[in-house]
Amino acid sequence: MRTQTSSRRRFLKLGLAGSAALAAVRLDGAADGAPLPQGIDLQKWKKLKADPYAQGSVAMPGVCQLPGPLAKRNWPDRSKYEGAEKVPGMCQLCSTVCGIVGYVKEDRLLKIEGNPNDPNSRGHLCARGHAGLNHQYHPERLLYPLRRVGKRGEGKWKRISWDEALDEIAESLKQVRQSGHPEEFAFHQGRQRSKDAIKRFLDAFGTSTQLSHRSLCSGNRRAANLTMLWESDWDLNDVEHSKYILNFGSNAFEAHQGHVSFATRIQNGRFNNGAKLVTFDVRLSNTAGSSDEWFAPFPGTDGAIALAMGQAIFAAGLEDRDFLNEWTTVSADELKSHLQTYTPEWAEKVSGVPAADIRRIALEFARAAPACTTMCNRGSSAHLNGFYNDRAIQLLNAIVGSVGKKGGWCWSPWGGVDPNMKTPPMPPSAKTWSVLEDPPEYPLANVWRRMRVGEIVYLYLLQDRAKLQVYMTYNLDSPLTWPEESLTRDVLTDEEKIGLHVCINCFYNETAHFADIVLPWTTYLERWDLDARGSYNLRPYVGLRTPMVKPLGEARDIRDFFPELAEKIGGGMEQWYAYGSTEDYLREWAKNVPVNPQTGKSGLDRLLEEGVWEDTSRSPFYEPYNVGLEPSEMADVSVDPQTQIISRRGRGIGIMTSSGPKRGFATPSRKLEIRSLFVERIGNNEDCAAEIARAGSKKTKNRPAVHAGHNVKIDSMPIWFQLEEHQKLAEDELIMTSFKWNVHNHGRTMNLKWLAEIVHSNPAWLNPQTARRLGLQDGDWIEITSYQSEYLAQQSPHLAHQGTVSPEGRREVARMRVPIVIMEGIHPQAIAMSNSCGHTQYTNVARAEKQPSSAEILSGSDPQAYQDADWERNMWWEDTTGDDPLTWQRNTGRGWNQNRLMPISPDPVTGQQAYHDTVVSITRIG
Amino acid sequence: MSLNLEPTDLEQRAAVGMYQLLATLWCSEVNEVLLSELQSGTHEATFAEHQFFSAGEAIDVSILAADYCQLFVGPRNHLPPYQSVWEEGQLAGRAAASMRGYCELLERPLLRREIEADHLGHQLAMMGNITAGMMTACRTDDSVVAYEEMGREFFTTHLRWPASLLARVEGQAQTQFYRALSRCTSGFLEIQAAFWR
Repeated sequence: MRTQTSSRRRFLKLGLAGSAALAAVRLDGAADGAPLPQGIDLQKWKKLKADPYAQGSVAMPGVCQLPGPLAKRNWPDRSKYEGAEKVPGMCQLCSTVCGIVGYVKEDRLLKIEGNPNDPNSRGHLCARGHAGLNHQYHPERLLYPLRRVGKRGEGKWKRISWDEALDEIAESLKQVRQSGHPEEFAFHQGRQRSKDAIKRFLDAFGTSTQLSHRSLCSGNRRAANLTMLWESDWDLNDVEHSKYILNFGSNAFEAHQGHVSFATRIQNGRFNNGAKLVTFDVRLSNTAGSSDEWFAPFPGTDGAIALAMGQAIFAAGLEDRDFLNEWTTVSADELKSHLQTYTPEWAEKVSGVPAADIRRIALEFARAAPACTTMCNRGSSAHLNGFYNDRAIQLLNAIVGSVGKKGGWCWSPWGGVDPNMKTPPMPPSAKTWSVLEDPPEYPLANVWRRMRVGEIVYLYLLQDRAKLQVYMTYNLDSPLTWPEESLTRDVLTDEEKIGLHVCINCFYNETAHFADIVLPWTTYLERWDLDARGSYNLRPYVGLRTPMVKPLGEARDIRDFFPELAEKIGGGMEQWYAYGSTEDYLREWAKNVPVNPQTGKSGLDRLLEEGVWEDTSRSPFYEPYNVGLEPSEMADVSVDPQTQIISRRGRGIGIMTSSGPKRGFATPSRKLEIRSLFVERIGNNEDCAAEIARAGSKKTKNRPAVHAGHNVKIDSMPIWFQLEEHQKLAEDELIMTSFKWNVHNHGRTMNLKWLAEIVHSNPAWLNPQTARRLGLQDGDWIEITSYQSEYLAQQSPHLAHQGTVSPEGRREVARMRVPIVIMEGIHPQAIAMSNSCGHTQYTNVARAEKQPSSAEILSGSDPQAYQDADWERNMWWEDTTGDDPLTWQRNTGRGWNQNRLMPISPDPVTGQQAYHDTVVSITRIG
Repeated sequence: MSLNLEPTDLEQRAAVGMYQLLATLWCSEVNEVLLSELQSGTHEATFAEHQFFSAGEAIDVSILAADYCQLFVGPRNHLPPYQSVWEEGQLAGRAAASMRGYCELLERPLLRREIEADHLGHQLAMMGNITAGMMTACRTDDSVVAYEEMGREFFTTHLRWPASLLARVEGQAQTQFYRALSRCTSGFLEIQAAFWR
């Protein structure tokens, strides 16, 4: 009692002193103790009291705690959603951007569902989408701007105001402009869906150094599509109407751009249309496992199988000669001759897939034509021969005449938002050049589209081929998702190579760790966009991303603070932000959404109610090449007597055929370019202005003068070759492949507890044959050593940089120790590890550690900041035995960053990162 | 019916002062002006007695700001001072909704609008307001009863949770100042808890 009395006295004194001190300084925002209203609204008070409130606290905060197993007896609590407002939006936890509906009550998002109005996803939503709640309300979200106070990468910060942050950034950006090198301001984006807002800011500033991750994703597939089509880099396989789907390495049931929209259509095609799904994949993915047949070819041999199938179709006389002769750049006879050496028996030798199966499947595919299509993605394309793999796969559709046909291999000329939607006026495009954005060594990286070569950025900075005064990263996790993690980290730490680093993100990830200023970004549930993806209905649509709830803390979107930053930079930038509020901007952008006769609403108001609008007045984009030109379109045209190409004012618009003038393909020949003389010539830096004009293309450009001397031989025909290093694997050598899970994206979901509970780790997959050969058992640990490609060492000497050199003269990239799981679902000469794992930042959930990290992983430590009953029930705390194999436990913690093993490995043609070609050696340890 | 708490006016004024002081220090980093005031005149001895600093000590506010950041803002291994985080494992949970209800009822805006409603600083400020309301309410009408009932309800709902947070802050603080803030908050809430029992 005496103690408490004494304490009361002490606090009495302190309280009075504190009160006096506060009164003396009159701080803005300090507690002022102003009088309350006399009397309380007792009715309101009773209502407030009437709401029962859960009591109790825990020793440490968890993450999205669940109420425990018994609670599931009364789950879901349907009354929870009574009176909730349904607010439309668009997901952004992967690249598919499905329409969603948020249930919002009292400013709180309670649930996320798929939006049935979305013509692509049709109301379906994957696990990632549902875990958006974890993303929104994660206790470790960034809520305030931070300024580094220690060394870069040391992890010491202080909170600053937005004004302070934007002042410092503006000052640095002004200096960049004054230096005369605006290209030394680089904007480096990860997944972004605010293309217009970014382009507006960069063009208004005057830099075109906009870096991306496209080459780490889909560069080869896009380039292969563009080679044949020019007007689209993304084939939209009409699987829902197909009878035969030939899948080369795509994992559409788990990942893929189009994931849910595509996967549901595949299943519709199978169940409603009797379509057969055959998958060639090194690994038994969920897609492969759900297929009618699965074959595991040797890594990188997809193109060989495809060419052999083509040969078999010709041999059986099942080719579509009319289509080939009328609509492609090679005749049926020429193509038959080209393919004659690519026999199924030859393909069996390189791929391991039996010739009889290759032949049988080829003929099944051809007999289903034209309602048949191939599909592929990173599985076939992320190789050093990936461009040719995908060219060969696409060729199959031409051979059987399923190009553009219902149930066949289709595309659309618009890639996302309905092109009828127009933003307020944009600034003219910036005209700067940077080796980081347009490396001259990669001829097809930027010819049709700005695909860029993301994986060389940090290497070129290391080599002093460029420097950056200001580096702004946005939703990017390059230390985790880029190859050669250690190089990335070294360059990000170097203040000589990267001046001010501003990171914009929702969470403190591996990139933010190396920033100077971190800006808290709104989640996709708190911001505005118009958005859409390639439409599997083959007609345009547009969806609206809306702020379903107010941003937490001081999180802001670029649409909100870029205008303010432009104002601070000045020099004319501000004029491009005179459109009013973000909502005004969206209203203008969406104004061409027509009226809904049932509601009377149009434009933004219609989207706010329905979320998505599809232009159903348009027919699906089938056989566009076969569409006749109207007489009005034939005015003022000329027809080339040799090529039959129809041009107006020097630009191709169509082709004269035996059945009259047709639109044709949007290529220089107005035909599907199986043979592309353009790629051969552009690879050699020849002037292709005439071809570009014949194609009628406004986007395609000749290579700039700075590319001179960087000639690359590109074969005009679909061919295939195998890396020599893949043909001479030693006993302990395998080819490493990677994959994504159905509950994760590459680098942005492992912090979401609901997903991390499902997949949190990534032991390496090994085939039982391999394990027997190497004396390994399930659960053993191995050391993996990865090597730079010998092929690239010869083809791309500019990639050379320091590293340990093995006795055989190979450059080692990295070593990593991981446990293994043994299963049949992997090719015996391959080893697979998923990505998404191995975070060293990105919240306690992603790190999944209880103990300090070992020095080899990262400096710094992770005290037991959080405790979570759900975690305790699970088994995924990291191994804590101090690297002692004798006491290793079978749990596997947060997993490993597989990209640490990956060399920087751009395909010399397009720059596509070859994620699936790396030769590794493995050694049993422990 | 009155709860017959009957603290002296001085004690109530001191309690209001404590709530104001703690709310201010929890909601934002201490700046040079406030620090200078706390270290001046008779205040210095009072705050030194509570070990916020030693008498005559020169303190760099930027070090305090960095400590505040690693404790309460992040970005890593911090201790988010939001009730929802400690009770539901997420931001903006039911505690935040309840706090917004109190703000509306008492017609008091949040101390700092950009900070979530269930931040400990806001809760301390609100409790200070309620305590002040009790002082100014007319003791003969229903309002004082309502304030007293509300005070008990509010304290129970929104100020009994931080014990674990405060213990961990004391362990994780890198400066004497924030260790003292944690201790003082803990000690004061303990006394207030006895009062509102």
